[in-house]
Amino acid sequence: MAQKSNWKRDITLLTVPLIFLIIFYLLPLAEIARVTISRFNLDEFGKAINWQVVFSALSFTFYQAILSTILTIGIGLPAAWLFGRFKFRGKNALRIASTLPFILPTVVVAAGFSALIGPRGWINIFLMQLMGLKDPPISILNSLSAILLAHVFYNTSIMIRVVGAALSQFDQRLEDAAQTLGASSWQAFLKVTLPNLLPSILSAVLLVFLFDFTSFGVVLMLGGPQFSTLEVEIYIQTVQFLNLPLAGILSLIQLFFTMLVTLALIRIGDSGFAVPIMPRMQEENMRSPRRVWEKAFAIGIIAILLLLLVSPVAALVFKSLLIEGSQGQEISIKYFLELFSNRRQSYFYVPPFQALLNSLRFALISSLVSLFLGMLLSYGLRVNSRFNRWVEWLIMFPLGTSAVTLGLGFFIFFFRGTGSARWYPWLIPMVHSLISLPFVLRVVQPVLRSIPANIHWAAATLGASPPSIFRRVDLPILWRSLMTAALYAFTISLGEFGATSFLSRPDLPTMPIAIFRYLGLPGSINYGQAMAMAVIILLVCVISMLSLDQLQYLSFRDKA
Amino acid sequence: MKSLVVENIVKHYDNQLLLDGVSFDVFQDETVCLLGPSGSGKSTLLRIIAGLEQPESGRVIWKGEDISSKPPHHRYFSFMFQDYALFPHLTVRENIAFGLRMRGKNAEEINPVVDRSLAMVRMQSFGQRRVSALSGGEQQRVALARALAPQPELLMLDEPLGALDRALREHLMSELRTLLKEVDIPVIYVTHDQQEAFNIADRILVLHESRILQSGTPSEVYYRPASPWLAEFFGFDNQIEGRVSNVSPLLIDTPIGKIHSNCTTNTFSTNDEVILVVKPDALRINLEGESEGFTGGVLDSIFSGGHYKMMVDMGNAVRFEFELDREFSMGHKINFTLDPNSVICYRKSQ
Repeated sequence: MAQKSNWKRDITLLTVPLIFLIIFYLLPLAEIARVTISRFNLDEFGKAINWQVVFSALSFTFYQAILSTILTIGIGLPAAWLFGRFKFRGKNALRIASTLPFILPTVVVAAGFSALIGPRGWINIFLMQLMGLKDPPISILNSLSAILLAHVFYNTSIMIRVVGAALSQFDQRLEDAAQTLGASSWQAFLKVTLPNLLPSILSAVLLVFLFDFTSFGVVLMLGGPQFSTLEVEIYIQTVQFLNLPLAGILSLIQLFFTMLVTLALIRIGDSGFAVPIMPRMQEENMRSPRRVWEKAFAIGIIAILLLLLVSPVAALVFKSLLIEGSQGQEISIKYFLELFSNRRQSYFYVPPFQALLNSLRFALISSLVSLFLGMLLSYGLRVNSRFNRWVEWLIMFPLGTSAVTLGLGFFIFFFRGTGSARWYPWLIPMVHSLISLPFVLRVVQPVLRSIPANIHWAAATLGASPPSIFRRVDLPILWRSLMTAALYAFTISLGEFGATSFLSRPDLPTMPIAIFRYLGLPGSINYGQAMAMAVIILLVCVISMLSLDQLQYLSFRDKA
Repeated sequence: MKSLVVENIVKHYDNQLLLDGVSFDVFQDETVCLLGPSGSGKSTLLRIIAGLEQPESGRVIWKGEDISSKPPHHRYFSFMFQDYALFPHLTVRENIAFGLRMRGKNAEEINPVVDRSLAMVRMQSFGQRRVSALSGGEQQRVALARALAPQPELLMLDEPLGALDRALREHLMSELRTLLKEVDIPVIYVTHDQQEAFNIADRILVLHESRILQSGTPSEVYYRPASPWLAEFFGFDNQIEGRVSNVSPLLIDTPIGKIHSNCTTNTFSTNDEVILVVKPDALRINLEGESEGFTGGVLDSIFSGGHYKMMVDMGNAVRFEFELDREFSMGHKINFTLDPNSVICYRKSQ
């Protein structure tokens, strides 16, 4: 990167994103701390803080996160091995399917598991008919098992992504070299492959733990009232009891641990020796399973993944399309049509269709905002200076801050600032942009940095002005990453639940909020509508996932 | 004494025949170069000898014992990989010690050997470095030291200089040559670079289209390429088809006239269809007054260090390139003959 430093221009570019970060990130967080600490010495505080609640929430958060992480490792590592080492039919389809949980909002997952294992879910319906029971025999929903299952569903894809990619990029000649130097294949794995994979395994495990630790929607919707993680407790204390000091304390504890894990992740990323020498041919490392145990292993893992990844999604789709007709079950789009009507005719219950429009509007705004800020940042941070590294760090921090903490920060800070909650919904796209910004930056910045400065100089000597260099040189090179970033931002915003749940108003809900609300209401129409809405988000996610895959595929092909 | 015997190796890759019954021997103390264009199966052959890959048929015999089904770590052969495959999580020392450790040696035995190996490749001060901090040439030396440290019975090198730039390559080539002469074990050296093969090898095997086309000392292989393809591979681009018009002396009718050859590799009879290879040193300028032979226009004359490369229009749209110790200006007409000793004749089917 031989970019000439032009700090005046860079500072100008960075001003707007930095102001954005201060207003929408640092100040709200500081406000949480202020509200919590300012009451520390007053009697009020002692009464407000029920330490029993804090400790039970903290210990349960750790308990379920550790358990979920262990289970995820148990399934994820073998799956990563399968993806990193073997060729098999349908691998690409399974790979794409395994990235779906990555972008699937928690409400959709919750709806999916509810459709599968809930009291109205397929497994219970099947068992009830089989055994002639009146009550659902399986009550996994509202139990720890449901939480763990959903966490494994979510995070197996992280293990596959991170460890599988490291494994497929791992130069297998290193193992060959070990073998010609006298190592058996087992020794070669233990002494060469494993030490080289360790950084990526470790960072995948930490990432999984971080996501399990900060999990909100899954625990709230699948765990039921008796299970409260820090996140859920923050939400309950804020929204139900308006006990802000307690919510603040919980939030600070949460922030402390997530920052710890985030810092550990950054350290691993810095210290890890880069995985050596890419295999020269694509899939050079891969082979078909040959031995009997390899085939058994592959079939077993594929079966588990299909069951885990496909069954909740399929259950959801069927649930949204099958209704109780006069002659038993029939396929209908009734639930989808219901989305357009407002049965209650009440002011606060807008038709779900309105929620869809709100969501789309917010998603559009937030992807534009985060793309704009991301571009300014990418250009402002082209030089690798100490100040710029600090800014980069700062941008990545919202990634390590839980959505609920962000929501709480917005809730407290902007209420104090304006004295009104009326315009809260308009903060939703801002918090979504904040959450998307690190992703946008990670996608756009490396591509921009890879454009050599002499291309700009060449364009300039050929008579291009700075604006036309941007339009004719940078944009064509960047557009693929910009599309990718916009899709990420759009999808994140569409499904975001944690922060939104603090800011949405009954008359201006987003789709995830509406799904959450309808899932909690009695009656098959409400339940069916929740399913239908979840299917709509699912569809958008699938489309965006396929487009993302296509974009990556195209950019890969160009390189080859 | 034959140390290694490779017998009838057959191997496919992606349904394409890669090795079609390849056989050869390597003697103790001998350095054999497998020379061939990329994709000719050289590396695969090496991997089969190392035990990293299994042939579909054929055998690998080491000192009389069939080792075809022995796993690589029981073969006591060392392999130096293209791009070196150094272990990035280990230091230079630990890399070199790896083979000894795997053979169950303890630290007192390992340390002096590692020191000696480091000294051998003149890297004594690099022991504690991470391999990622090394330059290409340094990595190459560490890889060689790592391969030699366990005192293998056979050394295989896969394009050991392929990743280096030209200047460094030429420097390391002579170093490597000296080192390989010092170790008294058989060496199999794979390369696509003729210059490297000529420098390093006692014997060259040329591999092309799944078979060994020629085997011989560097000078045999260079001066008497066994086929027009081999001649072209070694840079003899002046080729022309013709028909034998007289057997003794051997005269060939070609589109540019009658050419005389002293080729003895084959016996020919009249009307045989042949391909002639005219080596670049074949051109003899006629003295004043001599008029036999050819007349051609000089198309280009380039000084290339010690001699001139001259493009000559031979007529009939045929252009030959010759090496000459004097310059002619462009467009100059020259009268010349072709030295029959520098004209090789092949049957067309070859």
